Amino acid sequence: MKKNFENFNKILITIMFLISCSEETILYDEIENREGTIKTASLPQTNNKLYQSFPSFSSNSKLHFGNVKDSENLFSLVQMTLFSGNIPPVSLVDLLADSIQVDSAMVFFQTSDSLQTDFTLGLYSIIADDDSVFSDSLNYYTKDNFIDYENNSMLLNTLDLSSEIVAPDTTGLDSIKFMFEENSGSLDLLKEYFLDSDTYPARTLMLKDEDGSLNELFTIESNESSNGPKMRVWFKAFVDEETTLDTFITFFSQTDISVFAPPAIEDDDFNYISLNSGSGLRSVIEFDLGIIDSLSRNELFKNSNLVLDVENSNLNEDDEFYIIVSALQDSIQNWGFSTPFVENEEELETISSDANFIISRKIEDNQVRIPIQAFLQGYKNGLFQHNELMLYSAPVNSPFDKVRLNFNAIEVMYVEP
Amino acid sequence: MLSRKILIIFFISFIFPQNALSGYGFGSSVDNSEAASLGVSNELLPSFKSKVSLSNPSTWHNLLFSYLNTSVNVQNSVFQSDSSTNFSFSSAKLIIPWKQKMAFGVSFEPFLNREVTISDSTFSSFSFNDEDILFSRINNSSGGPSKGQLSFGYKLNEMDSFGTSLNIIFGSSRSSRNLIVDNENHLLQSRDYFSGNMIDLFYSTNRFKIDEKPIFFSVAYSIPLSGIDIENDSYQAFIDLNDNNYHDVNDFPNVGQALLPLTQNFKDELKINSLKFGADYEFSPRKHFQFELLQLSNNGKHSLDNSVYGGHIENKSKLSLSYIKFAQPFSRDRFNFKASMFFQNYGVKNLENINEVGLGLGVGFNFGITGNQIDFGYKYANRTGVFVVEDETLHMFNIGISIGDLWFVKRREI
Repeated sequence: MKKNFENFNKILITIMFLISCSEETILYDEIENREGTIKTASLPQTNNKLYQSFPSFSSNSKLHFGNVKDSENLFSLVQMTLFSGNIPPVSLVDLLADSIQVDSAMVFFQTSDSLQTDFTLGLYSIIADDDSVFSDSLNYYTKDNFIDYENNSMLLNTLDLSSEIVAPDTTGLDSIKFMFEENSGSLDLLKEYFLDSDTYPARTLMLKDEDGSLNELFTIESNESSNGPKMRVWFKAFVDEETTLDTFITFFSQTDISVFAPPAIEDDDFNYISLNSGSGLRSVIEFDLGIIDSLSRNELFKNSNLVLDVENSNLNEDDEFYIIVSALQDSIQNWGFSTPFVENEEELETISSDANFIISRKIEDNQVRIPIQAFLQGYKNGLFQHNELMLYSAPVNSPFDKVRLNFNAIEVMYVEP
Repeated sequence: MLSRKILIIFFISFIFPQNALSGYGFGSSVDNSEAASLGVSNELLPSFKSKVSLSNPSTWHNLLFSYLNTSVNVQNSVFQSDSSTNFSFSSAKLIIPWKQKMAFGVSFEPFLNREVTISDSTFSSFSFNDEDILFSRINNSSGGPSKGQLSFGYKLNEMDSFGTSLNIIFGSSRSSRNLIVDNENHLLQSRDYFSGNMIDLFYSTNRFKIDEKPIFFSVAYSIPLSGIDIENDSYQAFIDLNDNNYHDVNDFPNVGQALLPLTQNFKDELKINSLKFGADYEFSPRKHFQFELLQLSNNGKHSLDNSVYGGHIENKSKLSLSYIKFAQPFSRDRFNFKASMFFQNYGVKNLENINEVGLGLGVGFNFGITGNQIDFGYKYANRTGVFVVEDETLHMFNIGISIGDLWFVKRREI
């Protein structure tokens, strides 16, 4: 009896489950018209601003040489360590002691590039009185705030580079070596103008294209890379009358920087949304978001794009260019051109992006479509206060690439469930 | 273990039940929640045992034992070319008589049922940027408030008795509008929380007789102690990117960037008064003829306009005629047989009134010394004038089990 009752329960539960999952529907379109469920609009641009921010390199792991795309690479600076990386530590000036005989030295760099054009790379020592002659803020626009590197440098050595000499091997790297030996006289120059860090405490090397003939981009690995610049010195140390130590030590790079003249900011740039990271050229556009005030609480933005057409650019056929669009933390007060390179700090205008909306898209077929529904919805929800968007070149772009864009439209689609 | 399984089934069933009336106002009311009364289509008059209705506390003092009654309901609704079959919990009730003088009861049952889904029959196309975008809509509401009831019945004398019930309305219902655009769900969700109190007053008498056979009269009047208030929480629409039907950080806008729910309080949204009057005549031993009249009106404000159909039921009238033959206690005649017919009219605000005609059938089987009973009830109803669907046919099947025992009853009182 008990078993029968349990079986009855099981059957009852199964029947209950099967019939509980049946559902019917009534047709919606007989109750409420579906017209007007999806709406579209176009948001007009009301203002735009071209401004300059601090220039940025696409990558800090390279030092640049060569003149490309209206940019001129001026020079690179490499500061070496004061002490060698060996134990016990030996300073640069220790190598000039009476008990030390420097036999030779080599300053060497690594490159992953191959060369098409021959050029001469000069290696200079900065002969300044200060021990710190440059900082991260050094660039084309601020170089006047630093010493005149050209007139405070001593040529130590040159190296003729050609496609035969520079050829990365299977590791993808090749070395560029400046040799300093007694018989060439270059070793004395190195000892006098570089190793003597008491007299010239900057211990900074300058590299530059000697005759400015390099019309292609050539890079060497910087201090940020594991294959950064190094200097090796071979010497004999006379420990006592009977003991001589014949050895070498290595000095490493401590910090470095490339200084280049980016594409110039031209009058024509002001007619477009002009972007270039080398010069720090950015744009801000303001558009009319009045439509948002008229929308109901539950209308949702979707498929909304900021559409920009490429007017002109210096991009090559295979070059990719990404544009970043971000919201602003503060509204623009001055719609004229502004630059961070001002003498009076009170004139400095800071334009900061809002991290809650940053998006990037690539130019394709001379057009870029950037989805901004998250910004519009955020503006509607009070997350963003300003109806302006900042546009700038993505860090992955070459600092020499420059584009000019035309505002096409902001196409907006919004729906209400 | 069994009870656990049944609870799961109940939960699932709460999700799906619906009939076309659920789209009116805050949902369809639940009548004849227990199986014993379904066959007679009334609530006041004896249907459980002779002289006892489970829905009328003024008759409970006639019980000899405490009873725990549970009912479940299966409903089949047919309209247009569609059909749905749904299973739901119907009621649970505990009645404790005391010295055949008074009785106490506590019960739980659904108050309004709001299960309804309406959807577009086809996808529509919208062109944007040379792309065709397909969309369709689904409007869904579910849940509904429940009613907790504390009842008391008292025998005034051999002729008269009265009863009262305090009804506590609580619970919530959910509404969801879904716009499906290119397979993405755009959800607008809201929730209504119900709270209110009503009191039912019952009076029964058998002072009157025809041919020396008493006529049992009963009247009940329901009034709101306080109107039923509704707190409406409306959540901002979002795109349910991960299709979990829940607003979270993976949706657009993510839950942290969405506006806070908009909470609105509506006072006296529902204010239901009803008057029932019924008479039972035992024309032959254990054979009864019954009729009952119901007049119900809802004077609530209905300020919260979130009805699926844009109309709500303002009043309801019902007439039922029944025949019942009770089992003979402590004999081999253990069956109660019931048959009824009823006519019902719903007065609908803003929309066409609804007429309903139906039949009821029921069988009850007594077993055990304490008068345990299992009841089967069946109701057939045909509604006309239902919005959009016009005609609707209902088949309702209710099963109730009543277990009698000496809970809280001293043995010497029997």
